Amino acid sequence: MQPAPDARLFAPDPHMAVSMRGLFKRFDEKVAVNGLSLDIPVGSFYGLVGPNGAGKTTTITMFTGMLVPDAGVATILGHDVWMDTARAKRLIGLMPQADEIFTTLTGMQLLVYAGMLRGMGRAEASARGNDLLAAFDLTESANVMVRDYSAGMTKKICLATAMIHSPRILVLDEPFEAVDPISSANIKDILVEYVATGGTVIISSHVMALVERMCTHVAVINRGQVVAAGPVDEVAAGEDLEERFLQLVGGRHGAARIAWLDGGANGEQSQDAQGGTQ
Amino acid sequence: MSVATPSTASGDRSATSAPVAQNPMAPVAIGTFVRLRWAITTGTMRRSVWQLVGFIVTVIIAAGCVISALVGGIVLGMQADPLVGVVLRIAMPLGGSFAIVFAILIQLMIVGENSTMTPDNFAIYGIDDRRLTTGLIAAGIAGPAGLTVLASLLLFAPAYLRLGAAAVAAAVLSAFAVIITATLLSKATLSLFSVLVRSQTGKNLFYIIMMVLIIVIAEIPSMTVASFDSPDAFATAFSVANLTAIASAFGWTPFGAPFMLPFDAAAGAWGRFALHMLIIAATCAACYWLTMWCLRYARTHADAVSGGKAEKGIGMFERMPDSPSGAVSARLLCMLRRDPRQSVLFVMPVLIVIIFAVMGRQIGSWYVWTGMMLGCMMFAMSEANGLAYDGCGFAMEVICGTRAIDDRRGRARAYVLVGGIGAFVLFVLAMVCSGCWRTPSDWLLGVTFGICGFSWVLATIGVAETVNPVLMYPTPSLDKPFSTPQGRGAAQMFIPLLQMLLFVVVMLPTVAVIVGLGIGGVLHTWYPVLIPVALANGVAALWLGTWLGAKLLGRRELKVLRTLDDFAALQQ
Repeated sequence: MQPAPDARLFAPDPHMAVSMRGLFKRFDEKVAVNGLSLDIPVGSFYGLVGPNGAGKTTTITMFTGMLVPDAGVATILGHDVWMDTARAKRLIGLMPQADEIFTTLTGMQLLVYAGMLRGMGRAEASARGNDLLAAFDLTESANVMVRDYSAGMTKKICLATAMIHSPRILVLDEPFEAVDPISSANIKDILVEYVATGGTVIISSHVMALVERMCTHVAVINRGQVVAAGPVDEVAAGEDLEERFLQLVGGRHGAARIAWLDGGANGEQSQDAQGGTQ
Repeated sequence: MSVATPSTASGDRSATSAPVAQNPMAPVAIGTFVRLRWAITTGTMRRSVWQLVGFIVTVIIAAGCVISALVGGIVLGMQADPLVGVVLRIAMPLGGSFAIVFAILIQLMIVGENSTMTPDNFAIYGIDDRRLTTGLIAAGIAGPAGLTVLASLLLFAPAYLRLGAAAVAAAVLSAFAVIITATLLSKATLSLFSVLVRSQTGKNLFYIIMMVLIIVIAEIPSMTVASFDSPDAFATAFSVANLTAIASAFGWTPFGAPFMLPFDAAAGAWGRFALHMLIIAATCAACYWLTMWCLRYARTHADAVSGGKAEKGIGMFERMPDSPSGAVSARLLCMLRRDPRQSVLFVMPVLIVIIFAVMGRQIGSWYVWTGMMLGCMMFAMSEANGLAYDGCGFAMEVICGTRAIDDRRGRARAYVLVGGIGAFVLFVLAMVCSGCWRTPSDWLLGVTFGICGFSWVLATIGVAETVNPVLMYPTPSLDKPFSTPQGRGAAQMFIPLLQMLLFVVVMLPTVAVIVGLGIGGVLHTWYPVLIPVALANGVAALWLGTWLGAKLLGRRELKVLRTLDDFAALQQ
């Protein structure tokens, strides 16, 4: 299967925070991203939504320099990601996944490590680390190894490592998953403030309500292509964003009745068939 | 308001399944575990060329074992010399017991419980304990190692031909008894230690103790031989009568009993035969019960909570250079301290020097220096697979756009520090054990060895920095250092051998000078010239290795990341 021709396959827009043209990626026989083109304006709070396997994560890993596309081009504030990868990465704050950090470091050490890796001085990294720990309610756990953190705390420390170098663009994959409501509200405040100062936030999420409430722009991705993109109001077209999303990606069907799946109200105790379990 | 009943509501629903089968939840067949085990093994082989190469090497070795057993069995069986029967009578229970104990320790330490075929991974399926235990044991027996041992023992049965048909029949029975007993013993031991050692600190400590124990046990034969003052004392201690008595004693242990069956049958000692069978049956039953008990215990008792191990300040990050490479060094040093999989590798060299010192009592004091050199070669062994030990955490460097040369410099710095301290400790140990501190000329010899050892440390770090972005094999996860990812065994056998070969090759310039001095007959007077030669060799190899490693890592960074992702999947 060849990359699908894209009408917008021309030079990326250097004024955009992120500009992608004709991104294509195939894993064996499966086409994950199929000629995807998208512009993400500077200073926007951009949501990437789509069903599972739509190509959101692959798109993010490609434009952040973590995966080489088979075709296409991506720029970060006018810098070609694959011609000047190091420069592009310095402009981005990509939130690592929980398994992509060194959990035998303490929270503070992890932040200093993230800062120093990006060329920051130790003193500056330590000072910013303290600020971030306070902002994320992690000060008390600063000297505790990350492996002993809860899922929510780990998510927060991952987010903090993406912010320590004050990037121009923050890229966050499901940033609020497993985070408690109080911390979640605090993080949202930080992100909104960051956007207000000219930063760009790109989040990938399945929670439509969150995207509708927080994002200024949204792109709906399905089968490796953008099916709708723009300001949230325009994409929603006067409807609830979730309904609009379902219309755009399709796939919803009437509740299927699975004959053998019952709650036992009919008195059939098939579960007991195995008997004597443990 | 009306609510639709299920029958009316179902009108517009699509039935997606056939009517309920008679018995949809029949108990899981034992064969399912065996099939699953092989499906995972073959699936792993398809993941990478290296896994496939390793698998082929393993198959060749296994075939070699089986063919050797067959040939050995036939050759021994055709011998009319009664001494063959005596040797078998001594070797089988002694060697067999030793092999089973060693296999259990290796299981605990190196191979560990297979990370996929563990009770944890079947916890959600509600399989009853008895069936689960039986299934996992069957999967263990039907694995590549189990089948190789079983086939080898079965094909070795002709060795008992001269002892009579009953002995051969008993040897066939013995083969099955050996494999079942050994599997049950190792399962029970693994389960027991998993239950006993639950805290992270305990696991780390246990891991190191096991490693020390394995090395000591492996070296017992050579240390015993070396401990005799004269050949006569050796001959007396190892007389046929003594050895037979020791073998008989081992035959009454669970490890040796399965090997005694053919000899009992040959002697017509059916009472002893029954007693040995009883020991085997009792051992199997006890191990089976213990494994099930551990399964229940682990389910009903939560893992020990570490309580949040804390470290004030930024620790190593304060002491390393204020740069990206300094951050890499600091991170690596922090991890080495807290990672039992790697920290144990720094204990081994010390142990090796001590073992060589003991053995050197008869061979000569120079022997301890051989141990020191060997120990120096081992410091960079974990670094040769260092990126795999980092795991997906390496992604942070890629995310941050860290330059490959910063990574290599940082890693090399950390290992030079650890290896340098290690080499110094080994040097002091060797000096004390060899008595080289008595005269200035002894000192010069000692220092020459010490510098050569340190140079070798540098050179091996250079090699490690070059090979670790290219030759990687899966490691156990940090949380389960006793476990082994599927397919690791094959790769782990092949790649370290290649790495160790490179560790030797890299010091060839120094070796060439030694050979040259030896041929010229001036080695004993000119040996101090090795100090600058070895140092230059080590520093050059370190510099070149770091530079080359940076080039390779720069090009392969994303490929390394994908490989680490695959390895992480194997640890699940």
